Amino acid sequence: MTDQLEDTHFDVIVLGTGLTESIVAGALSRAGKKVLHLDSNMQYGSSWSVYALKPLLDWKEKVTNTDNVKDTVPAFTIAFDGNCKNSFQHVALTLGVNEASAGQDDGPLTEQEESLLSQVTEADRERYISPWQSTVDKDDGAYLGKLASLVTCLKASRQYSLDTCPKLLAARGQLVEDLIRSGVGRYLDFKSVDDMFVFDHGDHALKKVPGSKEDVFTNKSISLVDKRKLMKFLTFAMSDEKEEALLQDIDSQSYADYLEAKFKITGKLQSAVVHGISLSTSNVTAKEGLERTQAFLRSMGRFGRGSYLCAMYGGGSEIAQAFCRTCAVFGGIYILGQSLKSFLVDQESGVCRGVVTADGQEFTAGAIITGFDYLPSEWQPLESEVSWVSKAILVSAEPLSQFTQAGSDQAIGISVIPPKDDQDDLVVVQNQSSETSACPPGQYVTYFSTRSNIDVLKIAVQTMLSSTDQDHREDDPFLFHLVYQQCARSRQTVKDRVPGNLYVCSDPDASLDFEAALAEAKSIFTDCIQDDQVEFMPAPPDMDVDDIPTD
Amino acid sequence: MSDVHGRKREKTTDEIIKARRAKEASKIQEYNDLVLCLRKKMDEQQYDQDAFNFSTKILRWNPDYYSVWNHRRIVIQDGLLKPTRAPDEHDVTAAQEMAQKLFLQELDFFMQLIRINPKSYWLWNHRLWCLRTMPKPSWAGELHLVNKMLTLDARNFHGWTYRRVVVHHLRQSTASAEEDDSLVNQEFDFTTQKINQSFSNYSAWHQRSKLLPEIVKDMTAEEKNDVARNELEMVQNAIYTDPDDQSAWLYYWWVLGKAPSHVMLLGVYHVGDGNIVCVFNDMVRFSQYPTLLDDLQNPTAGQWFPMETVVSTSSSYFPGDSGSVWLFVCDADQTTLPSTAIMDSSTVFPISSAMTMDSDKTWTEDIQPVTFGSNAWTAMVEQKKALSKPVTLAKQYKDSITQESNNWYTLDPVETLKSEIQVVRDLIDCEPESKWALQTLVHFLQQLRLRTGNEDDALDDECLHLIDQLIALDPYRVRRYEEIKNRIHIRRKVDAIRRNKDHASTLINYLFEL
Repeated sequence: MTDQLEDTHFDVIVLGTGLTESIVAGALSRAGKKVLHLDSNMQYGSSWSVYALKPLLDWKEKVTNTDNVKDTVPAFTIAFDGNCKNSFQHVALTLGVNEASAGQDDGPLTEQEESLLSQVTEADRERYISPWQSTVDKDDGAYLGKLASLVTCLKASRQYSLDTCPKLLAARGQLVEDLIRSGVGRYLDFKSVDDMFVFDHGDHALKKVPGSKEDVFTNKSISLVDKRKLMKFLTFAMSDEKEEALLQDIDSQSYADYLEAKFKITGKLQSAVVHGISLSTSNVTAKEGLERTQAFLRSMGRFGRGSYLCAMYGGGSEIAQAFCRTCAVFGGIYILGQSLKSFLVDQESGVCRGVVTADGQEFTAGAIITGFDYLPSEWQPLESEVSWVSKAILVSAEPLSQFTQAGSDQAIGISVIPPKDDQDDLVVVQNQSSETSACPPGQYVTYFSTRSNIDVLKIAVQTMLSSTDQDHREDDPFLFHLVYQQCARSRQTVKDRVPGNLYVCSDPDASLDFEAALAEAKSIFTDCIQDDQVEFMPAPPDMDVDDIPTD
Repeated sequence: MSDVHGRKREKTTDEIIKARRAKEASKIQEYNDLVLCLRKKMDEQQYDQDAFNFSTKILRWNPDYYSVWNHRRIVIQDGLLKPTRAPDEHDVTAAQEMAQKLFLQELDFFMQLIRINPKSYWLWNHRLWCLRTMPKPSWAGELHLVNKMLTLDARNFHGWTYRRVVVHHLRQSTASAEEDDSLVNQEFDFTTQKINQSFSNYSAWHQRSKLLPEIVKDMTAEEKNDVARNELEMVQNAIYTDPDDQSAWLYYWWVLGKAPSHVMLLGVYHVGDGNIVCVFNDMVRFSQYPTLLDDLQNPTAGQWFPMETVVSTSSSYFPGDSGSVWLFVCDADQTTLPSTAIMDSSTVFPISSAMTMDSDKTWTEDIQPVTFGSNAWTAMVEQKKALSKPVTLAKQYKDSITQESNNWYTLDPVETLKSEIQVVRDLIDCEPESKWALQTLVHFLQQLRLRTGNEDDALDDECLHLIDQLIALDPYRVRRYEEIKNRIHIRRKVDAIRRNKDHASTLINYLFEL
């Protein structure tokens, strides 16, 4: 028995199991290419990873580790760990005060502490609790409550699927079509995201976005005349043949101005359309806003009432694994936890021939597809070329009162906090529950994401945590939140820097859905295959009547 | 088949088609043979298990074959469940158990077939028959079933009709008034839920209209009016959300009710030669002809003929049996002329649904002499001659539909109409071309005229203008709009004529377009 592969030459080597890499791997394997798919992590997902609780804490330790990464290394070295760490910044974990499980008995501090600590294993105490204890003051009144939060979470560690890159699928988006056609969707489960809300800064409360006829009809806060205006606009946005007069100036006008000028839609209604339905800021062009609105409306009601689907167990990573499975079904070879040393680059031609593993084995291929974390420093983008997405994962033992007061009886929802300042971007908030297996039953996960800086994000987290009650505004209790910035490097920035046969996959971007990742995967697939006749992810040959759900 | 996507399209070659045809041919043969076998059984009155099984097989192929359903019921009742000898007590229980079991199987059979065609009249009919015939029907279970059906298709009118029957049966077996109320409330909430999901659901609105009077029956006047306001708000939200959806508009009309617009007897006149005319302001039929008495209170013998007038030519309702003018021709042997006409409102039926009739009114009208140009008389004689078939009397009875639909609340009808007219006007500001909004405005304005007795021409003029807009917008319904327009014109003209002294001859000449 040996770890060595007998066959070391492939058509394609794919490094990293992020969504884009995995889609390309699946599609190429499906098209008959011999694929070797490697990941230096022990788990799937790369920049799209989903973690149980302890692994999340481990990951957090890893990316906040202050050890210096060696600066000078030989050419084309794959400094995977250092790269992973550099992909994140401003990472901070905050424990909430969990009074419910802390103050059960009024015994002395040490006894209560003991009783909490006894609920977790020695190893977990050592690894997850002691380092935290060393940073806090035990006499602080919040100590026990915070300890209780940590213990509560640790105990149920495996029941979490916390997504570092939470995204949704547009019900009529291209990804859904491809998943259905290719049969890859059979490996996945989805929940419908029925309701959407926009945060009203004036009322300090979430307001339901009326995106469908039923929503408009039943919404009590919109006046009759506004209902008519909105329906008129929605009908217009849906239609394929739009009146010419209403399409004037859509390139030059902002969406907000356009809605006011052509449909007299202003104020909260305008915010619902611009920020909610089209997930845009007010200054987006009318053309783009209209396109997004149309996409939203077309998706509406296809599955469930809403426009979006949420993949169970964490989106990007699950979908990536479904494509990996397809890749393997068609002969792709998988090695996870494979440490890599460097790329093999032909000095003269500049062509990338393959990779060398940490233990010295060479794998060669005609084409290499890779995520950014495997790129040697000489191919990485400049700092100025990198943008960042600010994110947060918030876990609570109760649904946030903002959601319950907005009338969201759904355990899955999507909300938008419009920017207060024109400079900023909107913050997208997704709430999930154990229904998507994001957390144990009885707990709730809220994801935040914005293109704006980390401060805007932190304010958004605080906003969602504070109740709608103007007079007695209290903060909702929570177990913990983790804020971080993840870099969103674009393939375009390094395209001319890397060998022509090496295809770099962009990091996850700030958009809500997976469409950009899919489009990029398709373009890489086309570049690799160089044959118009080869279809991207065609229907599987084995698809028969039994595979089609009957009801 | 909820998902037909992602399937590989099968190539149909000639051979496949041929094979398919051959396969079908044998099936058709088998089906026809089964039908013949069943018919033979029925002819010979052999209502046995074989006959039953034949019907099962046929219905599996074709659940809409209603004769076979009829056969099946006969086989069940007069065959399978017929006692073979005089029953004793033990037999009765056993027979009931057997019947119950058989009917449960029938209900199961329904479940299998309803998937093939959820809108089959015969299937629903059969299920209802089973429930009504079986020893121990579970109506509560039926409600559960119909809930499920309406979740799959909220607009399946069979489902809604069946639901009404089920609820009717459930209500008959409720133990207390509270239980009954809660059932009615639950039904009402169900319509709210379905309308909220999609208000383009005429069945749901209709169900609601049936339940509302019951919902409010024990409420105080103010509570009733709150319910009415809530209904108006709901329907306003619907018409502003989608002005093209007619189910909401029809409900709107229902909530506001219909102002009484009574048929009037304008006069009874001698027109010479022992002939009499009876003039109404709209077309009517009789279930019993008016009685004409002479000075000695003796009835006059003669015959009645409906006349075609401007009123009937502008209307699309059955000419021939009805008219706004009725001609009476005395029999030749009559020696005295009648002087009084007597008729009871219960014997007179307006043709137009817009018209109503005073209840329990008796008209006793002096017959007036009238002189008019000979042309009108000629026209009447010619029409009388042209009548090809004898006039039939109406056989209608007053039914509850003629009850006012807004009598379950006490909001002031005039104030309500005025505010709803404003709601519709505001909608027309946003949607100047909405046919339903324009039509409703005409309807509400005419209702307002009736309710207030306002004879102002400006209101009619606005309606006429709106109708012209409708004619331009909606060429497919021009006749309908023109009829409304004509009714207004005729009413105005008749009113104008009647304001003059000695108007009878002018009126008759006008009615005969002279």
